[in-house]
Amino acid sequence: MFSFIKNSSAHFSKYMLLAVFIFCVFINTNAQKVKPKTYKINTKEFILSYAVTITGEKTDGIQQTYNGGQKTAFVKNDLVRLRLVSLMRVQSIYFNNKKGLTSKVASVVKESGKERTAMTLNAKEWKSFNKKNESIRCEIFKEDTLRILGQLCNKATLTSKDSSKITVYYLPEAKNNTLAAAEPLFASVPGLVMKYSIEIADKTLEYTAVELKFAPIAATVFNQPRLGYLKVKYNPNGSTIPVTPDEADDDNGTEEEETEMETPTGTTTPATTQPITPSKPPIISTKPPINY
Amino acid sequence: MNNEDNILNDLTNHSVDPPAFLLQNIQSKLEEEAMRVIKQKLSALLSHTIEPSTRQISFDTIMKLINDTDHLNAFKKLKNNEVKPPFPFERLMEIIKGLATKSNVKTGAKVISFAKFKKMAAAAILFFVIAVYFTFQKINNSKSGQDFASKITAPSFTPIIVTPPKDANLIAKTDSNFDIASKNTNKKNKFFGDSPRRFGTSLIKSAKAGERLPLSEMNINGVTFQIIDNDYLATFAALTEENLPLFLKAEKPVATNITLDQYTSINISEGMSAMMKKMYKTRKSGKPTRRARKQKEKLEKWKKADVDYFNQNSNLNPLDPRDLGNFILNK
Repeated sequence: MFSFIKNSSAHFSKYMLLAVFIFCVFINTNAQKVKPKTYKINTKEFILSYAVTITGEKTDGIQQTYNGGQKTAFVKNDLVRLRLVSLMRVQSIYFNNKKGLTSKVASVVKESGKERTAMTLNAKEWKSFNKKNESIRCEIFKEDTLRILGQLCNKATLTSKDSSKITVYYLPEAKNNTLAAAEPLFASVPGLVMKYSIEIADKTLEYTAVELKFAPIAATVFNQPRLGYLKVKYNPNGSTIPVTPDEADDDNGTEEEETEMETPTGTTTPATTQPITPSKPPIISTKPPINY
Repeated sequence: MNNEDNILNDLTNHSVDPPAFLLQNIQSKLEEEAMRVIKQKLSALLSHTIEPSTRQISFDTIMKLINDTDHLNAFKKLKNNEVKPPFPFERLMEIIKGLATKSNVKTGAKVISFAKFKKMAAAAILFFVIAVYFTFQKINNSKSGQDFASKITAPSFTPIIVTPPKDANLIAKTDSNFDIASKNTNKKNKFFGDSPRRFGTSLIKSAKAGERLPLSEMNINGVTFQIIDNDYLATFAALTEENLPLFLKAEKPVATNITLDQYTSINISEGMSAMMKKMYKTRKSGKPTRRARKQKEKLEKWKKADVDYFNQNSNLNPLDPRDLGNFILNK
């Protein structure tokens, strides 16, 4: 009987050893196959945030007011909002890619400062606004890759008519046509741009994707602010022209679901620089920040 | 022999010439003789025949013969060999039959052999271990999804290092702020700026009803500041030495992260922080120093330059890297 138990336990341990061996082999093969996490990319609705960095020699000047800023692309079906936030300036482009839309295709909104402006563009004006992006030459280097946010991105270079060169890393097969239409500079890139940089005067301006979210975006994000914004008119040959009250009324007449715009300094006043020192000191509260 | 000198002369006088063609005749005679001997030898060789030696057996044939012999021997051996069964077959069958009837009578249940049971146990253990492994891997993956920002090639900023002021009174004044800051750092998911930036599919909590970007407040190190004219530079310029955020009170300039809204957080670089610090220097009278005024003037100059640059041409777009680059990088 004793010998039988001994014999059985020996067999059992043999099986256990075999099981452990199989498990080790399984883990080993699995470890070798470790691949970057692949996310289900919903190119219909997402938020892509880039960190703006400036590097190079003598970057202790005005560059620092943009260094560390953030550029965000909000995409929801036909709507796009591109937003640059920095200490110096907050600017947004609201873009509507709805088919057949001719008026109010895009709005360029300067959100910061006392003199906040909103420039609405129709399809023709939008085309003119992006004229410099028409002759962009895109060269793809599929062998040059970079992992950004865990995703393998391919390299491409964009050369403009004025021979300025932009290096781009894009996520292939994740192109969003609405975003491409809102940012025609990257329209020729066959994917979602995750990083891009431009080098001028031994300094580099770089945008690197730091966050990519695929989740519902609040509709309010795409609502263009109206109160306190000075309406300006697009001028293809020069500076922006403030819209007169009559023009503003006409413009409002064509806009749907829009309320009357109020301007802080009068609609006929040309845009002037406001001193950065405000009239009243900021209110500081020690209450905990709003919890969303 | 006395006249030795004349001997040679006398001998030369008595010389006799050989007969004509003597040498040629000797040579031909010798050749003839040689030919005769060769012919004789050749005729002897032609008539001579050698019988072929006995045919040799090839190596393969020998090996085959050996093998055949061995097989034969082995078969012979096997034929002679007799293996006795260790246990009589009839007896073995009897025992099996007996056991089968015994167990059926006792329980009537399905019989699982012990060997089968062991295999099943091993499979169960293996399955359990694999399940545990996958569970852990899943947990790790979800964690790594949150920590991805540190692994990617995203630009790295100097971490937020807030040095509490040396002055005990100031610490007392800012103590509550400091607590809020630390509390908020712990609540990682509340603000992007204070937590590592994430990549994933987590649902973005919808903003407050009707809320739009931008917000009228910003959060710096846990303290909320009212934004003036939605202008961050102007907001910082309006601060006084008393109400500075902690990162500007630090002895050495430090980079910091500011949460602006649900979607946005910006970094103030170390260089910018150093420039800002200069703005708040005051004299004993409380008035800003000359250097502080100069610094503010410099920022105002930059602000004007920025507005002028992007206003002078409707086609210039600060969201275009070329336009922005041409403006700030050429300075």
